[in-house]
Amino acid sequence: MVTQDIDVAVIGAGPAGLAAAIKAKEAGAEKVTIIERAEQPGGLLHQCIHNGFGLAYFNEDLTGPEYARRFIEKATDLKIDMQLESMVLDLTAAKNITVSSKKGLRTLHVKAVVLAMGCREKTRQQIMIPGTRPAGIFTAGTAQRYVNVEGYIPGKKIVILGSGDVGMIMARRLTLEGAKVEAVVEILPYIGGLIRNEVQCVHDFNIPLFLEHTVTEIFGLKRIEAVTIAKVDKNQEPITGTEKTIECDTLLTSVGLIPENELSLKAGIELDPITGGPFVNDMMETSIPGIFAGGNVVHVNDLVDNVTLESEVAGACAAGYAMGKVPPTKRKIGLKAGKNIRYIVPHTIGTEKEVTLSMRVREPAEKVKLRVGDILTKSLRVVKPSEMLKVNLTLEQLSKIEDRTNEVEVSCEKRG
Amino acid sequence: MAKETEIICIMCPLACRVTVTIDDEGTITGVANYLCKEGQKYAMAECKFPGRILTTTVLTEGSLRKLLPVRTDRPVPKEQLMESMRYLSEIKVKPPIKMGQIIASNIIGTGVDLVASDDLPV
Repeated sequence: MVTQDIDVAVIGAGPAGLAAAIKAKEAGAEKVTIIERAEQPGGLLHQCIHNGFGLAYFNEDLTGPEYARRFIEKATDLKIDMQLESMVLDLTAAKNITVSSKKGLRTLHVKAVVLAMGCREKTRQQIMIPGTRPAGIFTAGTAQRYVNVEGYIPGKKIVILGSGDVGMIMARRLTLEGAKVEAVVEILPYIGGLIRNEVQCVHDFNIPLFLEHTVTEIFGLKRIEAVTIAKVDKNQEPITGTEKTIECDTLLTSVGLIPENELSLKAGIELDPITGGPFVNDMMETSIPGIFAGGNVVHVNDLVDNVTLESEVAGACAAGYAMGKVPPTKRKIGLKAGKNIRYIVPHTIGTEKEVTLSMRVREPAEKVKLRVGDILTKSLRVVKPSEMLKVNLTLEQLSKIEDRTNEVEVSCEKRG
Repeated sequence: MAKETEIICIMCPLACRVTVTIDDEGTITGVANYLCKEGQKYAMAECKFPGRILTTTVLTEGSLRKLLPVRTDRPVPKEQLMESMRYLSEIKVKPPIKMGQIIASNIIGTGVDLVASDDLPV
């Protein structure tokens, strides 16, 4: 057992962890350590070889590896300690971190923690498709790793269930590599990912897109041989008589992501059942003082740029906590998800720190007015659950929150 | 005969279905069904030159990593993406390679270069 004198320990070296560590160091924390289980920093960005990253943060169109490289180089320049091939097995509320690596088992006692574990894909098991259990069923992200990192094509005739961004990106990637994508099947009446991916990954390659459809059965003993798809009604129940069988040797699932919070639960951090991530305040601090969180571990983002920005707040505030420079919060105002708002991050705000609210709507809607209590209204032409909404609250706007208010409602209603 | 093409705008989640009219000479004579200038601009550009940045991987030799991620430095005409992929499947690279280094010039005569989008250490 070894104890080290660490100011800020960051768990995970993906985009969230890198951004948090860099900001913590820049904010003055002396000893910043990132603990990462993989052999290299960068997280999932290594397998996301497509472009479209960095448009918001750098105003440049970068690929995943290019986006990662910028932060890896910066972290190296700042001499941030990077413990690779090191897996965190336990985290306690007292901020003791148990790490397993080739060196053995160690326990670090640290002043502040940033959780940056990202998220994981939902699997076939979590969506319960009936049928046999043959080989050839992968999550889209696993297939992405096979194709882009390991150099294997998972199959030649592919059906993709779900139209999340990774699913659509894999439809294009597999087509470019010579496979035939027979169908992208989406249970909702609209795609789950970004419009640019629908156009550039699905339409560009004339891949059949089945909206309001789902996979109702899987066939094949050793290897998947076919799936049955069917149209669904308003309650997402398959409609009898609309079934259609598609031959395939591979089924990819792109059916959603879940924040990875096993360690957070071990530490006793309170999780929001809607986001699947910790409840956080405007410093991205969880229910345990000194443990902060940023990126997809808090809520699933659609753009890495937002992961970076949010984790920078977590990193800077973790540094402040470690150095004992956090001003005591005078007020804690809860944000309530009102009409057509599914969730808001952070969950609580104060009035002395500018804050960016990230939120998602429940249903697509056009010509709406987004309202944050009495302090801000914003007209929007269109909102969709797949595209995160962001608004900044300035100190001036925050000062308008009345003294006795302890909850502000955020809503998104039709205009006029 | 003028021809009408429908372009789905990708500039915002609204995804306007913009109609672009093109005459026999290939000149754009009309743009309709867009809600903002971005949509008009995007649809016209997409009609004139439907190009895409091609991102893929090339095989490596003498490296622990099997593949190097690569990208084109400029958009490739959409209809030449598959041909570009067939050409790039023949390429093998050796380390060391730095991000941004040119891997292949003027691929299939498009005038577009292929560059490394990551380092490939020895």
